[in-house]
Amino acid sequence: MSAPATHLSSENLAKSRVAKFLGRVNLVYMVSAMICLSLVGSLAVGFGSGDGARRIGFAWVLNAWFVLSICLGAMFFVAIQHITRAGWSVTLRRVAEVLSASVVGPVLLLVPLLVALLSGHSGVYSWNDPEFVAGDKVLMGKQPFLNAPFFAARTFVYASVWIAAGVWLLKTSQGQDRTGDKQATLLMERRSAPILIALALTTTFASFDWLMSLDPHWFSTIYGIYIFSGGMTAALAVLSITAAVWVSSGRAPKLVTKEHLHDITKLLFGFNCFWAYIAFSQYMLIWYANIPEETIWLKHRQEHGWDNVTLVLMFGHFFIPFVALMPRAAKRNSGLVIVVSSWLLLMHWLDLYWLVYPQFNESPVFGVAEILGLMVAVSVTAVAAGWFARGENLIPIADPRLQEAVSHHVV
Amino acid sequence: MATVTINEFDNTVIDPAIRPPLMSGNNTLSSITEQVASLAERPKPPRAWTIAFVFSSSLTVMLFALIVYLIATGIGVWGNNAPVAWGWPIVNFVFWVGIGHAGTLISAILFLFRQDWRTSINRFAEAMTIFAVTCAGIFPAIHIGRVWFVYWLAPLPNSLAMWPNFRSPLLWDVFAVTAYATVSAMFWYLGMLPDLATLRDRATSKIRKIVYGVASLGWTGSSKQWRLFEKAYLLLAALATPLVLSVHTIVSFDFAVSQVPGWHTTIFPPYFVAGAVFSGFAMVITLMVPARQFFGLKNLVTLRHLENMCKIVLATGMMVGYAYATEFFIAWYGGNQYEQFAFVNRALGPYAWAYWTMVSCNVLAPQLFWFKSVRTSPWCMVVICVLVNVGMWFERFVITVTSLSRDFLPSSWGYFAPTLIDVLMFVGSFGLFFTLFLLFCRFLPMVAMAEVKSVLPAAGVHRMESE
Amino acid sequence: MQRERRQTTQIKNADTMSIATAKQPTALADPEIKLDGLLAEFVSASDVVAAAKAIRQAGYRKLEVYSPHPIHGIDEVLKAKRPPLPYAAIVGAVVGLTSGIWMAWWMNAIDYPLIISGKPMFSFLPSLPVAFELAILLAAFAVFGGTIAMGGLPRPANRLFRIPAFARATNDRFFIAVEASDDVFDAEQTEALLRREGSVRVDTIPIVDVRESRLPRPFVLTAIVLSVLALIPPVLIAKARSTTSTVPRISFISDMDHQPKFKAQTTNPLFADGRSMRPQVAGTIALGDLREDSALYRGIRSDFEEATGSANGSISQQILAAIQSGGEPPAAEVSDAQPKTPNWVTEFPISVDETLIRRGKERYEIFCASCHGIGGDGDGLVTLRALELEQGTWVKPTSLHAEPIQNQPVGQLYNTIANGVRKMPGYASQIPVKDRWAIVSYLRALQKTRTATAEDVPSDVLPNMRELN
Repeated sequence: MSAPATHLSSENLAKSRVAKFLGRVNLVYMVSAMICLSLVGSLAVGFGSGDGARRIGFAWVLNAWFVLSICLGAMFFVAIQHITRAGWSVTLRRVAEVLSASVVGPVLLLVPLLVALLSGHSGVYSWNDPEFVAGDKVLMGKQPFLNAPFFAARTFVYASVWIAAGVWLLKTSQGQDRTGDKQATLLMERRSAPILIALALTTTFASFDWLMSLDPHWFSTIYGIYIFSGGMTAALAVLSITAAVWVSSGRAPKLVTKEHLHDITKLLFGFNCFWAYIAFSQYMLIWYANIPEETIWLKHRQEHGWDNVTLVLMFGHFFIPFVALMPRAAKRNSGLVIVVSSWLLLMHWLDLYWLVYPQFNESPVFGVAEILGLMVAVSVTAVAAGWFARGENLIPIADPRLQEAVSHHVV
Repeated sequence: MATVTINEFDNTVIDPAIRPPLMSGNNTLSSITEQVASLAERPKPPRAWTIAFVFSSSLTVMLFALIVYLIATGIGVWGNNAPVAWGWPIVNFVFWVGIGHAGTLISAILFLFRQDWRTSINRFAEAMTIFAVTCAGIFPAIHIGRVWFVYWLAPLPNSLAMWPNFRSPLLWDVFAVTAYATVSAMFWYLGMLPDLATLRDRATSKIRKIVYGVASLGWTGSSKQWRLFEKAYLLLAALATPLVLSVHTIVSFDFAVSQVPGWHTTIFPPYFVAGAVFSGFAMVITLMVPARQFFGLKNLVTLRHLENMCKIVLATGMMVGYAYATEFFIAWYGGNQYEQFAFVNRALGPYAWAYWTMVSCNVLAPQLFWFKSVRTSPWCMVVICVLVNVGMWFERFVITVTSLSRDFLPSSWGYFAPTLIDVLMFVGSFGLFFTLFLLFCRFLPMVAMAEVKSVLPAAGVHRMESE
Repeated sequence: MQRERRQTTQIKNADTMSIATAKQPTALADPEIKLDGLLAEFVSASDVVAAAKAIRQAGYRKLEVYSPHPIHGIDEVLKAKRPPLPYAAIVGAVVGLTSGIWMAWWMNAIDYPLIISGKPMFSFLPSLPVAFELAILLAAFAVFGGTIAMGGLPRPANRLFRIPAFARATNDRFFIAVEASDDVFDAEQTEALLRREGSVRVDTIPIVDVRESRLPRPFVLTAIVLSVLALIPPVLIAKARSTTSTVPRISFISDMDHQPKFKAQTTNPLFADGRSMRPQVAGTIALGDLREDSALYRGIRSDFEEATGSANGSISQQILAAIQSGGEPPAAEVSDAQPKTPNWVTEFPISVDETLIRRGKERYEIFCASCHGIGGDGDGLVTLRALELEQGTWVKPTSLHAEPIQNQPVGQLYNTIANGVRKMPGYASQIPVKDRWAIVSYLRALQKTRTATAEDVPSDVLPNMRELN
């Protein structure tokens, strides 16, 4: 294998523009913290009012899961890159690792909801209302599972797994920056397999708990995979935006190139198609068998204005990005990638909205609660990300496969 | 840390900074040509080949004889009957189609992921796909009873002025499997053109010259042809990837669109696809280990190739296990008593023997691949992979038969047992598969020479890619 | 300087040159001998890439590189255009997608609509799998066909194959072929350039007589014969579809076509009366025809009801009750006495409410009012017309408000509707049982309108009625 031209050393990198970028991270950290605090304050006021509480609860669940799914998707990405011994993605991996560790943010967001559940609040999760359950034979049967204490215990387990895995992956990689120890790579590779298994199971059951049980009568075995595919797509969108920004701004000229952009966008394209495939499978099977117990869930999403959201999702989340990102040149065009990836992030939010909100209201509602919720969720996660990225390199400078990534060329 | 086998070069040693060589030994362009082409050029096949061929062709003859008997006598010679109207034929069909998927995955999906280690095994695996799909296609074709009306399955004008039912997954299957067989065949043939040209140029007898000459269409290896070839290969790979996902998805729709408990569950599409890849890779390993031994291909298909395939078997096996767990949980969670019964019945009912075979072969057996020593021991792998294929046949059997033999009305319950014809036809399909495969090994280039050459260090290509 | 170098290389390569050109006379010696180009052999991919670059820089444009595997970087060197295969794929995909959706729509919803368990005749979703598969299939055909066609294949006869060294192009050597028709081409100089750039061997590409590269006769004859034979099945099919036949078709599976069963309206030697179609066993009642409830279905109270006072006197219950009470089961009634008046029910066997009466009104106005009139006075439009025509055969319907009709029990009214009376036909075949009772209930309401008194009117309605009068 011929040696690439770039010679990298920590000294060079320390002087490189990457370090300058890190300075800006601190600023982001501070600003996010301020936004976050002010928003939380205003929301605390909103929580007090009666029916508003239900809406805020739903907005909270939706937005917490928006950022949670992105962090989990990033964690999957990191684990998969380790387990396949990928070389091309090394320069992008640190950002994904930071995102994985930032799962702390969304987990913190879930805490107030848990508190509400444990104190008997049932505006969002109707199975928490003993009277509602008592009249319903099916819900009575689910009670051993759908009850607040067990729910909280499960969430505690999921959160522990997520935080442990995400933080460990990041810290091990950051530690390698300092020691250059190759064993770290091998260790991360070995541990990635059980991490993936744990992630798959916890993501699945967390989605059953937090999202599927919003309508406690309905169920779908593919639901966990649906949430995973959406989250993965969104995480890849974030990574694509990162790559595109780095490429277009020339911040890390040899470290992240159009080749990396091409590949990460290819992955994004592929996973978006995978999302569409899962969504289609679920829809087709429920439609075809036409069993009222299942179709009611789709029926809600096809009337009183929800049908418009469904159409927007179909075209916006799949068809338009499919056509936009298919040409080779499109995947190498930073501007286009930023636009399409941002659009896909919006579509992922819309997807979760489509999953969650029909339970809240017969027709789509959108307002301050949802926007505030999004800002809180994003800023909390940004704070977490800033915290974990603070003072560290944004590129794993001592990764043994860094040379490969640098000289990566898409044929 | 690394296992070093005495006879084999071990390229599974992991130093993250170094990519181990894809192949072992001093491989040059001409040595690869000589090694692979000579296998197809031998005037007399090795004795082991002849014995295997005689055995498999006799099974094939048995299969064809039984098919004639079936068509002449009727479907009643099988065990299919109310309530289990779908029996072994559909289980065999899904089994074979699933096996075929690994070939396309190795050719197409691993190509898209730039996994260069695939070049040693992709020709072999694609051949396996073609032959597996052939065996699969036989069962739906003969199970319709009046086989001479099989053209009614296609949207062709007929004497009834009728068209097929486009709302039925069984018809979607017709299109899906046809498209899959055709596209796989085109992909395989296109990939083989350069190698057929190699055989043409090395041919000594006139017949071989003409046959390989016609088959290679006059390929010269010009840069223009290579340009087209690479572009076409990329496009076909990009087309074959959604194709392979969609084919087994549509096969899963056969079951999942129904309302039968145990069948109607939304996870079927990705679960079936994962299961197909699982069984397919297991079959590739089962065939590859003896092939590399008997045909002397150990330098091209190294321990690393086998280890990678074992990892894929393990990963897809875990996905299948995940699907089992999710189905079971949601059956309880959903509160649907029929669905709950279906799962309890699978584990404890009259087919419990089949269910536990399935679980131990599919979930337990591949767990041994967590251990590197097992992953790098070829004959160990074969045992596990045979068990995996047994388990996957049983999975389709359990899904089909347990749900049909006991569904909503207890008064309609009944136990299904196969007839001798069912069993012999299945065995015969293996005969057909192996016959075609042995012919492939004898006359066609087993390894994609041109592709292997293009990833040799001698090719001077900067391809430092992931494994 | 260049000339010196050339001489040096010539001397150096003298051995290889002599070996290479041992069998073929070199074109260098005699410029009159025509050649189609030069073929240079190289040992490695990097060699051939460098050589191609140099040759292009020297001004040559008609050159082609041959290799046993694709060489990366050669496309840039040769400044080659990307093949337009992706567009072919897109066209194929679009055609496949639209034809799949079109088929599902036209074939299942328009040409021969298939009713499938409540699913819409055409729905976009289930047409997607077929459309998707066809899209991929046609795209793949386009790519494959495009590759073969654009690659100039099949082309079994190629003048390059006449050069023995070229056989290694598919093995381990790399070649550059420079066409003689290139502007810069000069046999001597080009060969020297090729050797300078590292080729180990240079051959001439012979000019080939076009006739020599035609398909051999056996191939052509076989192809013609096969094509003619291939025409036979479609021709036979066309003949079969456009003509009629007087002979029955050939049955391969005789036990499907000639089944050992008796068909309707044929003779059957197994039975005394010789019929295949067997009459019903005495006492057979069709499903749904067991009209047990006499009061409901006939308006007659059965004897069992008389005796026991229970409403439903089914035959089996009668027998059972008789056995339980130790008595005789009811005997069949056979007597020479006058047919006695049936025991008409006097109570409605179904509950009467406003819905029933309204239903009865609607049904009355459909079936009865044409003769009996809206008000039941026997002045329906048919009657009026018949009277106008002064047809002697027409009997004016009895007024439903006449006293005998007022006094008839409801069961009798029911019976009249079902079976008719005098000139009135029975309407049992047009009016279902419950509707007949509905009409009866409406009749009673109609009759009430003529016989009601002030006391019958609800107190809140009464004041309004006084005003009308």
